[in-house]
Amino acid sequence: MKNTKIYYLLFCFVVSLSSCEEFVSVEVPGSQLSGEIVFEDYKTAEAVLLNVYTKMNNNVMVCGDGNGISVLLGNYTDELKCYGLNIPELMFYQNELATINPTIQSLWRNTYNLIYSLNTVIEGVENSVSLKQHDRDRLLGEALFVRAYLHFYLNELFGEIPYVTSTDYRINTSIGKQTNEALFSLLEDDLLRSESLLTDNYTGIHRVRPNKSTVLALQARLYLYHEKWELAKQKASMVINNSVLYSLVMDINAVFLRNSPGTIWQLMSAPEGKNTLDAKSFIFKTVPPPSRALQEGLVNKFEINDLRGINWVKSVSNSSRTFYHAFKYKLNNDTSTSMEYSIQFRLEEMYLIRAEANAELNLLDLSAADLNSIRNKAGLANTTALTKDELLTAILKERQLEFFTELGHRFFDLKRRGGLDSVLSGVKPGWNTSDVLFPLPENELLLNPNLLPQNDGH
Amino acid sequence: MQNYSLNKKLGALWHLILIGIILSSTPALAKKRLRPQLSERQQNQISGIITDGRTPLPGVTIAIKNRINYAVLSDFDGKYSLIAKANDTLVVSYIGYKTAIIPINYRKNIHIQLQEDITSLQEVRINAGYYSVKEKERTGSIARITAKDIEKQPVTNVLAAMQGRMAGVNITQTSGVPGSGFEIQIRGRNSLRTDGNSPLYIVDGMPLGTESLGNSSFLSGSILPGAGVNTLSSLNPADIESIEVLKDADATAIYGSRGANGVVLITTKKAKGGKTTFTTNTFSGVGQIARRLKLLNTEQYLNMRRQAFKNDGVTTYPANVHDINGNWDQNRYTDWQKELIGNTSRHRQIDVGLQGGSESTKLLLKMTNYNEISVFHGDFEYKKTAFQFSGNHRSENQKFQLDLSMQYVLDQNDLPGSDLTLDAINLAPNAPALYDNGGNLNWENSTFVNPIQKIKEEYLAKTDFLNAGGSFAYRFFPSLEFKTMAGFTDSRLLETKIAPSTMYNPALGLDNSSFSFLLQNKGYQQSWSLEPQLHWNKAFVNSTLNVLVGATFQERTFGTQALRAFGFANNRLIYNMAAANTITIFNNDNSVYRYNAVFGRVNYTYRNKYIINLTGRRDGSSRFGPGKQFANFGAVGMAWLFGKETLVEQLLPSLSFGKLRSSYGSTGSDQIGDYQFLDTFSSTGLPYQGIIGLQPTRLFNPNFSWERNTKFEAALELGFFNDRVMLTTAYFKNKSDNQLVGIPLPGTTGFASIQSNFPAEVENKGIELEWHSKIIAKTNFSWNTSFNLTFPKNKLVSFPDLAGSTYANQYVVGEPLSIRMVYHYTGMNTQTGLYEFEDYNKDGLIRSAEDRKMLINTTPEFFGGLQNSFTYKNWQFDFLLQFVKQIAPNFNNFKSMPGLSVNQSVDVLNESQPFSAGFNSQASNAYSFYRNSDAAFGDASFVRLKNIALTYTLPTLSGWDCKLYLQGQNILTFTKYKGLDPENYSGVRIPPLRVLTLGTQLTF
Repeated sequence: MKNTKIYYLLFCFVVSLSSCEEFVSVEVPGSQLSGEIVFEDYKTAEAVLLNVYTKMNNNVMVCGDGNGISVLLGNYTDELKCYGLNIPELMFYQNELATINPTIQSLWRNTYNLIYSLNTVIEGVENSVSLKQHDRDRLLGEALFVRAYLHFYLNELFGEIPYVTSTDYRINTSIGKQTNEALFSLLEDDLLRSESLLTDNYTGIHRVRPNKSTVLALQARLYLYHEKWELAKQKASMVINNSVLYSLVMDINAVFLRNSPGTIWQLMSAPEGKNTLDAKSFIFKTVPPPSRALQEGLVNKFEINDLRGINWVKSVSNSSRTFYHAFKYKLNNDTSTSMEYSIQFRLEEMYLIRAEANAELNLLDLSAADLNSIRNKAGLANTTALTKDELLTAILKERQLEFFTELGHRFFDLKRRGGLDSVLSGVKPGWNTSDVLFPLPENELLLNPNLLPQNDGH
Repeated sequence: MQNYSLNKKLGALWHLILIGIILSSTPALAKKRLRPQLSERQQNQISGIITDGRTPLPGVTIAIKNRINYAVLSDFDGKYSLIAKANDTLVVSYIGYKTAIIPINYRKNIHIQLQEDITSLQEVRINAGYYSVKEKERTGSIARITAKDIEKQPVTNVLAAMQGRMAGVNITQTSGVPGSGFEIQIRGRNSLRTDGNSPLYIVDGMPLGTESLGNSSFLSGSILPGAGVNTLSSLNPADIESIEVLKDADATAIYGSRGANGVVLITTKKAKGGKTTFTTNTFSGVGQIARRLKLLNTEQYLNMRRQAFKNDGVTTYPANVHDINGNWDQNRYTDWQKELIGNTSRHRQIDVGLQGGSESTKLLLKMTNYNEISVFHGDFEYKKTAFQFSGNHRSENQKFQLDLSMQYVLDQNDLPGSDLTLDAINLAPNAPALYDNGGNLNWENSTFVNPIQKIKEEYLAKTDFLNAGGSFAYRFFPSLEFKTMAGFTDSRLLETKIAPSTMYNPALGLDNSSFSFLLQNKGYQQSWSLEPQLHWNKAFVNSTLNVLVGATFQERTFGTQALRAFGFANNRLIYNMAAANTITIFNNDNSVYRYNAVFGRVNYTYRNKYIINLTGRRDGSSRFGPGKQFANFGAVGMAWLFGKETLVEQLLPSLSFGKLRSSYGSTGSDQIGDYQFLDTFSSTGLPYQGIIGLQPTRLFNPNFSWERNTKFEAALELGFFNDRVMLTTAYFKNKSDNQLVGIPLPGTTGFASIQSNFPAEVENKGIELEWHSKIIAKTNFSWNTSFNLTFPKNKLVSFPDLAGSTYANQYVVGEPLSIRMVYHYTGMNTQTGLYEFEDYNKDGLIRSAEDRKMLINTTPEFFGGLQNSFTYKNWQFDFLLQFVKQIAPNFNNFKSMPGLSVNQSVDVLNESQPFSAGFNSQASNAYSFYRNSDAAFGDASFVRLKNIALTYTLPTLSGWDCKLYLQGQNILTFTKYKGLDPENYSGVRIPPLRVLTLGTQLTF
């Protein structure tokens, strides 16, 4: 009897010893989703894409704070003067970018991190069996566009860069750089594909998702930068002619409001009530400025009755000195409903792109007409420029005054027009010709020697 | 009690049973009749007091020879009484003392003085996890400290108590902030991953999850180093009975995939039974930063700055250089080290305990309360309250046994948001006052970033830790026992960090409570484990056989949730989330880990001289992808007690003990976090168009498996002069391959790293020496020393295609993992005034990959400790010297270029390239190379008087035992190190504190 009990217990024990594979297989935790299922459902697939927009608005490349090019390139050129004590930003202002500058490193890494997300969307959506066709087109079109948009800036800032189109880390670990020509055609291809997939309908309100016109706007900019005047003109016209959606905002103080009809694409601030990081970055109330202020050289360029100089620049002074800050985005606090979103493309740029392209094509009247649309809106008389060169100079100045502290327009304009050295060496003692390109982050070169050589001068 | 030895021919097993039987019969059964006269046949009452010559010994077992079911214990005053015949013989035994055989010889009062048994060290049973072995019979390598060592040290973390006391175990304190972490390496670094080298911690049989519940990136990172709140700091050192560190394959293979980096077994105090006693232990003390840097004073600093501008050719000081352009007082001087981190910390502890019980049931309850005020500017307090319960029960027939133990620890750590050490070093000596006349933060008209800002950002961590475990055993036959160990741990963390609007410069326009925010992180970790086991022991004529088989089922769930509450109606409501304008959850994570294994041990001892020990484990872990979950591990250990061979006994009479042992086997490591094989997406908590975003968490990679570690050890243990001198020499050689590595990836992959197995091989070998001696052992005076010394060697043996891998610039085959590749500093060019470096590839340029070819090895060359213990009458004095020989990054490695607006060590006045204020890019570049050159590394060897303890035991009052003690930690450090502290050599963290404590212990 006693032995039976013992044998029974021993039997139980032996059974308990046998390890079972099921015990050590665990479900994916409730807080995460596996890659396979994310792209079988529109909501989750879209959430991956939306996270990219959130990141772009909050802290990557095109964001409005010190991680974004509005602030960084403003400091780097003749727009902003850095008063803060943030060393990496100060180094932008002094044009002393070290290869280990942490902001350079994060610009690179965070942007490619978003490109990875976009590639998961592109691959996931392409392989998905259950997504509907129009959902698939929309997600794919947006992802392709944003992938091009981010690569476009990387290319402009760092020169030759890898164009990443895969999620396979084995490929991306040792990926090499593309030449500028190859990059141009890759950008062109992605944008053409995107253009064919998207429609002019915005998803949701407030134009916070790119549509077909947004693709056209980037195409116009891309062709302008690559001096394909005819194409630039054509794409810009397609946006301008879409008067159902877009019109120039005549009230100078309404240009940056979130319901502005001049906006082609903007990034949403969430939750409701938040406004832009740009406003937080540029606006200050005391002197000396705690972080950064407009350079006086820029402020002095506005004609006396330029509405932009009056409304988009604000002065702050104490008894002895006056400082100026950008006042395009006016709300650096939360409001009950959000009033301003960070604008990526607006109609004014299309006018000035077309003006420049027409000037280059020697269609001077057409050029002057577009330029005057912008000038008149700012309360200025028609341009006095007559020749092609005069017009181009006037357009460049107009771009400076129209787009100051917006996404590095000034830097890119000077760069493509070859004006960096002549303009900046006067105002920026640290300026060197080789500063035309940022250095590649040192850590990246160590991890992937295929990115060598380093950009000249760094 | 287990090493009570009556009959050496019987195995340990029979001892146990015999003792059990003896203990089970209570004295109450004896007849208590008094007899007027003693006669041989009559039972008489015998009584007396048992002492060690100085103080009474409670709990001594007094038995009568040849009477097997009768024994009594001495009470707290050492008194005993029993009934015996006048011609009986008493057998008096007590752990740590020689057993006395005393014929009664017609006496009625017999006072007994026991002699300390200096060979007893060999008889101590060492906990090896699933089983225990006698020190002399162990085949594996196990280091140990006990409560006796721990209670001499005023420390709050158990790892601190182990520092310098164990060969092969290298422990460094990473910060002097209360509650912060320690790094431990047992026999070197096995994994290429820097975070894959921590050992397995087992508390009373329950594995302790050491992953931090904290959110270091947003909350704790700037104040607590590493991953944040450390689970080990939840343990109360005062509750710990012993800590065993398992080092070699023989000891660790039974832990399989978790044993690669060694195992730390922590055993808490258990009820001992006997008379009900009450103990209180109270101490209080002070602490201070042990070392400070000599920095420039205002005059020297301003001269440096002016010279720097002059050197750069800048004549008008820019508007933002407030320290010299006139905005700041040019005569002001503040010693910022004193001001910001120079406070005296105060601590106190109260510890009360009650224990007692009968032979069959014993109980212990203990409570500890500790608090400590930090050295930071402002009032920050660390509090710890611990409860400890232990109970056990044995049935009368000794067949059934139940043990329970439980610890509950409440830990509350209030700290500034950031460690101010770097501010204390960097701030210009003429920087403005911290507060204005009104007591508000001074911003000196927006020219000053007030470091008190970081103090206003208060960090608070509250941890509740519960560890409850028990075992249930039933002995079917004397030789067969079934045992189940079960345990549960629950650890909860609530940490908060506030950013009240008052921390901002009002000029930023943020001085309104609608800009205040609160970050909160909640984490929990719960685990249970169940380990059924069968123990079978069999004694044969010349040999014994022990067999153990068991299984493990373990599950751990883990979760964290972090949120940010922004905008409050009033700063006083900042901890009230209901008062926040917006609340966003920015992190929410949970995971499940399951672990399943079968394990076994076969131990065979022949003639008490030849021992073979086989251990093994088959493991399964949920951390690996399908098809990769199971693996086998095993080890063989052997020992030869050659000291018992007749020939040796004849030839070397002074050799009292001799053992040769060796082991070989394999273990593994699964320390890679959960779900690493999946490509998952997790919620970001951030909405866009009202939809919460999803972000990719990691890259997909199902093909990784165990990191395998094979260990070999050979050791010689010798005892001389009756074991008064014991010497152990061990050689070990461990190899780790199939390295599980978070391979750093370039940014173009979208991620910083990927987990993957890598066919690289890392070797750790070394020699460990341990020496214990009882130099003097007189009744009134004794002097014991212990010494340990370790020579570790670490080497990357192979790394296929290292040059083409992402580690090309981090490791070199044939060199240790701890090397740093740096520039080689060749001196200053007096013509250009620039530091110069070796141009290895002679291309005329200094570039990172090509010219960082100088190798610096930061593995300690050797380390160890020397402990001395003296007793004279009622006085006891202990001290521990810890020493390390090593090279480490020094001050030059983390300092900014001299001439910039940060303060410098006085050394820059003698040796520096010409100061530059940052306008000379060549100088800046040269200095950045300098910081990454061999000039920024130096001798960080040190000898530290780690611990002193002076104890005075008051002469015994009736029933009272009272001790007074003075203890100190990190008392003196002898070093040539240039920097704050040679132990944590960080430069940005508070170094370990010098602590002095006075206390009393009272037992009655």
